[in-house]
Amino acid sequence: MRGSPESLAALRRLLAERFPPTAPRFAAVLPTGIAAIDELTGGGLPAGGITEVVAPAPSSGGQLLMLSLLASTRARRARAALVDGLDAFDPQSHEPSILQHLVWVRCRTLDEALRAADLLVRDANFALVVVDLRGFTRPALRSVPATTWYRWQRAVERTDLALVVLTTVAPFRPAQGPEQVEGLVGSARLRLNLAGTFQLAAFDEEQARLALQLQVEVQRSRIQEERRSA
Amino acid sequence: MSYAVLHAAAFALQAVVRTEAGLGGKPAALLEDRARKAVIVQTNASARGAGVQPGLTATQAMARCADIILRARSAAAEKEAEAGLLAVAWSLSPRVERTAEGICTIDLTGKAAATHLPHCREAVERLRLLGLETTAGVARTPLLALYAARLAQPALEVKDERGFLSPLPLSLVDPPPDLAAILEGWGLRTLGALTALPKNEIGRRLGQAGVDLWERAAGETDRPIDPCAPGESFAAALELEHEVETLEPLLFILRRFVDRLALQLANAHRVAAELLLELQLVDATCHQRGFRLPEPTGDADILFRALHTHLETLRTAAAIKSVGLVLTPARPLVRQHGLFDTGLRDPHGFSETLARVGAVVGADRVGTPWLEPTHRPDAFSLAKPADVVAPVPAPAILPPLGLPLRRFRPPVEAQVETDSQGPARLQCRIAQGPVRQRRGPWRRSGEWWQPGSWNGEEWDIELESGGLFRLTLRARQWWIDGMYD
Repeated sequence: MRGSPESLAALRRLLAERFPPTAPRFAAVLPTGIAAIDELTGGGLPAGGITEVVAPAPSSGGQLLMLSLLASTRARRARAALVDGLDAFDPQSHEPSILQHLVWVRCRTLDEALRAADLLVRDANFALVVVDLRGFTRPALRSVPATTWYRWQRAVERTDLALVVLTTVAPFRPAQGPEQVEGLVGSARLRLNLAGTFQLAAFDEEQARLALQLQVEVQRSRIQEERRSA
Repeated sequence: MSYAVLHAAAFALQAVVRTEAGLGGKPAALLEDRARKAVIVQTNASARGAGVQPGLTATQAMARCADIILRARSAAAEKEAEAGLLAVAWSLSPRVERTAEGICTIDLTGKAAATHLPHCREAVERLRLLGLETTAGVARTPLLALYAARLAQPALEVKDERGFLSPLPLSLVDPPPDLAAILEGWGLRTLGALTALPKNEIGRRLGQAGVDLWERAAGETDRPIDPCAPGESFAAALELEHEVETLEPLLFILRRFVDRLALQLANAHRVAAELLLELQLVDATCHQRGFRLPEPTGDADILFRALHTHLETLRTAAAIKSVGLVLTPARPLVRQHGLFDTGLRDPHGFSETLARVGAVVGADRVGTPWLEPTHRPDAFSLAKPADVVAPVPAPAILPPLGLPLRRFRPPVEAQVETDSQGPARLQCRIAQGPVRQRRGPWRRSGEWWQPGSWNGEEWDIELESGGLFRLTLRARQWWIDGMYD
């Protein structure tokens, strides 16, 4: 049964009166510690929102970005959680001192990762939750109901939690040059694309310097729009 | 002086019914074995409405009310219900008497008179939440308060004693049967009619029993109460009439336990630091689980959530025949958070989230990573997250180099073509192609003296198509340990 346009419009008016829209929160940001990203995004990743980071090519620096985020939250003595979709995090690659605030959830399946993330985004103790979904196939990620992303957005929008979802186009697809990568997370307020790929010479560089070499493109940013509309 | 009485009618029946979910409001009766057959001894209002009265047999009761729920007495359930009744009574005053089954008398001396009735109403509501329908009476003497409680809907305070007592039937003051017959013969049916007669004339005709009856009818009987002391243990246990195989009935009982124990803790100005859950199974085994709370609390919801989270994932080999719960009391934590303190905002929520996530992925797969003091590849352990995030120590003298590794667990088997310099071409299910650059080999070995030894040759390679990988040669087989990212 379809409602008439008049009744739908009346219903929308009624809902708008009963539940007036509230201004989104965008003042808080989580600095990444990477100047290029912080400049592009106006200070860092939005707290109270979802940031999707797409890593289309292998060795594009997704893990390095995660390391910077962990270091940033550690410096602020805030808590971070990593939902590790395919149990790929390597503690030995990190300074032990920057892991003391981390809750690492070692998942085996996409379903486990989504369920664990659903619980963590509702916890008031975290400043950062990283959901690493790289390694899952694109069809598997596409099968995630869009409502999941919007539910997470609703869960975090009144908090200071920065939720970062790492996705990829296809596992280990060779780099094909700059391209427009389609995002997965419909409710993301910020979508970053890690455009470059590192070479073997990177092993001679300090991690802090490598982070500055990350090639990041902003594919979507609703932050500026929200600031303007406010 | 002022007293309150909390009265739970058909107490033994209520005690049993409150341990089972979904029985509220349904007709129910309590059966007890008598000389030859079991007869009904207590009924609830719904059963009485359907015509079921004490003294009927089970068959007669079911003939009158097909849906009636018949239950046997349970000493454990009555003990638990009485503990709940007393816990609520102690929340009103420290001087509480266990007067009779389902009746307790509370000395309200010292409390403002205006608060007596509101507090009694709160107590009745609190008992209703504990599954006990009660009434409360407030009066100058314990006996008058009991009469008031029997007539209250749900709470009644007696101010005008004569006016209150006069219209009430004589049966209220429990006259001995022989005296009741004599008074009936005299045409006396109310307390007012009896007390209109002179007391000494009643004494001359009916003796001391008559005088006692007259004094009860006039509200002149007074007595000191015999207070009991609250117990020091915070435990609850119940043997189940029917074995439990599903979660809901168990949670229902545990909620009753937790609500009562939380109230008892509040009365004692204590909080719970630990919980011990004990489930006796029908196969004679016992499941025990202790819960150390992240921060002592007396909040019933938090205590219940700790149990709920555990039980959601619990699978027992057999059905459960009895449940026990013990709370370890502790003094409430009184502290002021420091200005720069970065402890948990919600310690109980954090603990619960970790438990729930642990239920999804496995309790051994959640925690803070700690590196083990060894050079073994991928050696780490997971620890419980710290309550407070410590300040960042001074940075390492030698800053870390290179990209972090993204590990493949387990490692991916690979086919590698080599030349005189090392790996030249890679072929595996996740990456393939010629190698553009390589570094290595780095030989690693250790703990050769025990079974878990490791020995391998590592290479870092960059493929022409892009991507940095760690290759390892172990026992003449190539593996990709991970991708540098």
